[in-house]
Amino acid sequence: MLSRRAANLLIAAGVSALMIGAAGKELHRGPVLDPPRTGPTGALDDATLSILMNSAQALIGREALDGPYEGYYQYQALHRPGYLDIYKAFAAAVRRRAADFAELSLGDRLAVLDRVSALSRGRYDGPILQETLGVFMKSDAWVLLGYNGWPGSPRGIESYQTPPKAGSSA
Amino acid sequence: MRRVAIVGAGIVGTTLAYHLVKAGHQVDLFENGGETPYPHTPQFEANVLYANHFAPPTPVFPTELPKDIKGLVQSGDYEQSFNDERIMTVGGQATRWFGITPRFQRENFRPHTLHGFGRDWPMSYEDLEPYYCLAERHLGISGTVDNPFASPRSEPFPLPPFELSYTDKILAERLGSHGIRTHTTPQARVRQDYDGRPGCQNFGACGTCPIGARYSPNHHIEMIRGSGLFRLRTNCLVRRVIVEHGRGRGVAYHPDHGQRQIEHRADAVILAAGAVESARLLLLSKAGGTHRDGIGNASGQVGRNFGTHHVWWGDLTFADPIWPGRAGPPTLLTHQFALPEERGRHGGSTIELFDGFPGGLIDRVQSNPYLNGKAALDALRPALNKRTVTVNAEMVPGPGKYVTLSGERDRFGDPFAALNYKFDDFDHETHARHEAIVKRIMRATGAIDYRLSPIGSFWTAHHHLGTCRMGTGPGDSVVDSFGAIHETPGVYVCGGSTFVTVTPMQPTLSMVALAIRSAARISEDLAG
Repeated sequence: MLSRRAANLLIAAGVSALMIGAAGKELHRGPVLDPPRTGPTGALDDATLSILMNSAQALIGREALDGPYEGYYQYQALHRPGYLDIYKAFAAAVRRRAADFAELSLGDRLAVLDRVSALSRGRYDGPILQETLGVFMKSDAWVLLGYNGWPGSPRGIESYQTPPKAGSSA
Repeated sequence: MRRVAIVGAGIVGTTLAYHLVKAGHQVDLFENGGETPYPHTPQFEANVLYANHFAPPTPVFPTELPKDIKGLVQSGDYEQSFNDERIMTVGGQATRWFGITPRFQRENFRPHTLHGFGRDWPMSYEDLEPYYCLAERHLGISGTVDNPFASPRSEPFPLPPFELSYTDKILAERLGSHGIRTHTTPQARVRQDYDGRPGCQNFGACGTCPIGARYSPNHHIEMIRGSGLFRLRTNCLVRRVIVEHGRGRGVAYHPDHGQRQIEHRADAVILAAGAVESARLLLLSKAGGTHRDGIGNASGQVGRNFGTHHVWWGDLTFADPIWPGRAGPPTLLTHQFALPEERGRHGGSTIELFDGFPGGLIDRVQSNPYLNGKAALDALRPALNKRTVTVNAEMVPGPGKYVTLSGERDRFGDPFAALNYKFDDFDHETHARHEAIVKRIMRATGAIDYRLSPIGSFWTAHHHLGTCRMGTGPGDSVVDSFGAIHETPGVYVCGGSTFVTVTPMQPTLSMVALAIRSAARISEDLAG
């Protein structure tokens, strides 16, 4: 077990490395709506997937993401009615606000998302923004908090016997 | 070669099927549900990796059965649904379990003699010990002999253990300094490649292992599927056991849950459909003479003595991060409280310091809207200081715990089972005692707070036991220790439904050991 001081240092270091909440912006967020229930299912095209991934980076505040975001979006689109349509509509809305969305800084992308969220009256907040944070909370967040890997990934059967991160102490 | 009909394709039915096919018999395995993918990668994707907190799992594994096919009327104190816990699919409940596989202790077979409560089993630990060895090989158990409370064993574990985690070792040392001995957990999760299964990679989602490192019965189904001696009949509802001239002769079933009924002839019929459905099928299979109240029920024993584990979940809160969820859930365990001095007034338990994937906590925090990654990270941080504690407590069968037939009927007009489950004084005493034990563990580990669910919020761990109790004669039991129904040759009941008591140990290894022992006897009976 880590001492409180060591743990706090570790967490602080992890959070600093994140540069989370780029530019200090916060998204306009209304109540989270129910997920979509009806509509076609199918594979996402590259352009839509690119918008989703670039949005995830902005929302989380980090360019490098290791979690299964892409797989998550593809899975919802393939298996859950309504997700394919809402992903495409979201991507179109983002492109209307910023054709060069992927080229923007994380902070500027977040500003675009804030505007899209407000204009859509929260339509995308639940199925895209909140769920993206859900994927983050089950994956990258654990590494940033000090774990060697996140549950759901093959972490090996040796590292769990050592301290959470090299250099930390009980 | 003889023909055997097995009803229920869970871990017991598939174990029986595998061993009887290997013995050269023709086996028809009937399953009310359908197949489910194996290895369970699609289930892992749907339920873990790509699970959507805001919507139900899609696709659903296993496919849900119609309500007029799978039903159960429930009354009493259990707050959750017994019916939902019955996983009707090929592989059954063991398609999603944690794989914790301790043996019973020697004393667990003699609670009445040693502690004056419950009833003794008609067999001893020594009778079952060789079959424990076979069961451990069958399931691929990883473990070691570091448990000072375990009964003697004649063979080492087939595979090396999952060592304690970094934090486990710290907790174990603290607990040890306060007189609480802990140990590793024997489990059906292979530490290295074994019998065609890949070694564990520590996904941390043992309940839905994506690669087959944790045992699923589907592993052995695949090994006999092409043998020419095995037929798997899915989506088949067995309605009756056919008894002619006092002997089991087959089953009547409905393929694809349709209206057409088929009689399937067999030299032996084995019910391995769980405590609820096995009892129901015996009660439905009425005939004349000794079977007028159902098979094996001449003295009204079928459906009595239902039992289940009382699993109370809790957690310890530490002032500093404790890093939960780094290993597959089962790691640190203690059997120190399994045989308490006052056993009989209350029950013993297995206590786990469960190093689980903190999915429940994530789900709870996910329910709130977060503005960005930093807010989400902050919301998760308290999870670092939590460690799950589970109490797996024994109970004692009693008059308020039983299965019978209900007034509600399935699509063929047969009554569904009714299950009543009422606590008794023993249960209340057991919960109160464990509240004190968990508090003691909190102090010993240096935790600053603890929580243990109230008695009514227990979970059965899907361990549905009893209803077809084994014993020495028909006056107080349904089957003998091999599962043969008293006075009805050719019909057997196997699995947890034949348990005499609910011990503090998880039951699955014992169910498999008993099944292997029964398979050997049934094979002998068929040869004779």
